[in-house]
Amino acid sequence: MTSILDQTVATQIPRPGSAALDTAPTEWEGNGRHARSGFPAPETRPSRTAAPAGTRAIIRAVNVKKRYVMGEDNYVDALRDASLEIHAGEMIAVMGPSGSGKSTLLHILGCLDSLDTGEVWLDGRRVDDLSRRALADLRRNEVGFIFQTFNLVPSFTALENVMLAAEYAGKSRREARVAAHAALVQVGLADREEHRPTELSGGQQQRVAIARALVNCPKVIFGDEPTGNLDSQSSAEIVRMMHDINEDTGTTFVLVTHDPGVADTCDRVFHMLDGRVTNGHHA
Amino acid sequence: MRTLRNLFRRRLRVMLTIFGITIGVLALVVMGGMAEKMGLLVDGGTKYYSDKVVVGADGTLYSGAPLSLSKADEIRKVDGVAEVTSGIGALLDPDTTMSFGMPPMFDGSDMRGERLESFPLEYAKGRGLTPADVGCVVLGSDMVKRFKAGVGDTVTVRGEQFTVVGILEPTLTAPDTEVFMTLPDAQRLFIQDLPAMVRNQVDQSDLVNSMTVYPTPGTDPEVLAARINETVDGVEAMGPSAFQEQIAGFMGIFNAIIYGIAIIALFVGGLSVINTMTMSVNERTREIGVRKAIGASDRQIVGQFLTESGIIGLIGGVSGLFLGWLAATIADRVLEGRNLDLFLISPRLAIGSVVFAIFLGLVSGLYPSFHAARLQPVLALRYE
Repeated sequence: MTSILDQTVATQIPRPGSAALDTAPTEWEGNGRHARSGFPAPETRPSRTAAPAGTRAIIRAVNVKKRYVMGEDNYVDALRDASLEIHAGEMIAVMGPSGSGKSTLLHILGCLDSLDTGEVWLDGRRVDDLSRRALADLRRNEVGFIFQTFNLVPSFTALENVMLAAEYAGKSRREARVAAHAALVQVGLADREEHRPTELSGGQQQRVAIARALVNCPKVIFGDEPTGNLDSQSSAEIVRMMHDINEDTGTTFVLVTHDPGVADTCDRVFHMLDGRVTNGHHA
Repeated sequence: MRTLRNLFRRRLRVMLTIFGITIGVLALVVMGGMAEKMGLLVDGGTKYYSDKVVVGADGTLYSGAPLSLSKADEIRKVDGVAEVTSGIGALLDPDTTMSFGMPPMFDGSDMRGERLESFPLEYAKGRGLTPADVGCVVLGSDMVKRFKAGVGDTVTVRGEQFTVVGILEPTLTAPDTEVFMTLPDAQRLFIQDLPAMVRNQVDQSDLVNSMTVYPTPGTDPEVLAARINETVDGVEAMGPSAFQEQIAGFMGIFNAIIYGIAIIALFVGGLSVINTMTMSVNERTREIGVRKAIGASDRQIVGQFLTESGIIGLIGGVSGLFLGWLAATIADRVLEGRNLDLFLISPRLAIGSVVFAIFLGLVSGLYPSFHAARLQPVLALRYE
């Protein structure tokens, strides 16, 4: 356990071409106050100081708090004060013990869950106070999700599962079919299009899920333990595939993982404990 | 196709739910078919009686009690009477005690008012009767089935032989189940029905049991009926409203009961759709979470579940319609020997039943669909 927690300094691998993504100044700069919220700019934010200079912040979480209330005097503080900043094109791992709040943070960043206080910014836009409709819009166009248990619709073929996301994004049946086919080619499953999830191996199902996440060309793909249900060989394949996509398309990946092997391949690792990013605010 | 596959993942339950709707629609189609048939009879009657006055023996209208032909001459003298047709209508089978719909009748008249008759009778084959056609009959369309006879054939009515000279087009009302003959033939058959004491006292050629009075142009049949009741003793005259009040009013209650039963059956089917769809939403909570995670809007989730419940309604409606049609057809075939034709599955009933079933499916799917759409994606994803 200590070996994982010892990796508190965000590992940073220089990425070819990442500096060229965006050189625009972030909204943190200026008078030391947050330009839109008036929130104090966290000068000591390690994610900012540790990030490659001149990159664009694609995700920013500021002092996010989330409490799950189960009943009177029965609640869980899933996030106590979580802050982080992720830059466009990065491959990020989020690690931490069970119950440390990493999945909750992932869900909040991915607009699947609401927060109690704090702010979440996605590509320069504040998203924590959006309407249900605007959030659905964001989920379909800006972000993609990959889950530990793949979560494919069991009665649909691989192609139909990928098409579903494209159709939700407003594509016609025919356009969705073309886009879904292209995404399945990208993950090497062109010959499995007509297979149902039960006819595919775990690794293949996860590749279908990646194709589904990819089909609407999102800015960020969130993975909640994407290799958690896979053997080591499939796991390595999936990780390699995500890296390839990351390099080819510049899509940002944020992966919650227990697997140090997966985390090692990422550009940076955030560690969480008790609802805080430990190598974030307090590092 | 995808919706169907998704729907039939829980095949048994969905089949049972569809079956629930099917039973409801079956009830609606069968009962409605009966009501439609009755409705047509009543409509035909309303139309037939709309411009004339019916006269029977005093206090016994519609009962077929005997009346003297001489009363027709008294009625002709009443102001506003254009012509009077006298006739006899009686049950074809004297031992028929109760009947559903119109029982088969034989009907003989002196045809005096025929030129004033507004109710259209068309001949499918052969020709109409004239007063000279003693020993001849014209068959209503349903009677062709009973006698299995065509024009020129001989049929036996009450033990006597008659020659068929004409066959009517279907009217979907009373004439379909009638055998038309001349008055003297009808008088001869009818007198057998009278009790022996009465039979010996009446003159067969003077015997009728109903008269149809045609008003002169511009005369209100209701006013004329009142005038006849005032001036002619021993008869009872009734205008169009009497038929409406006595028959149509009764039919309205009858229809309300029939449709009421069918709607209750369908309502139960609808509850079963709500139950199934709610269970389906609960079971698929995780799938709903995934769909929302990959971008489904509330409206798309509602659309998905409403489509599924609408399809349950559609399949249930179509299969119920088919089974109802089958049941009605078989029942009519079986009852044919007893001269009953109970059902009419009209296009409006058929389309209405299926549309109602789809509507029911959609309405029943509303609550589960909105419940599904309101699920928090992350809570739905965590659901085991």
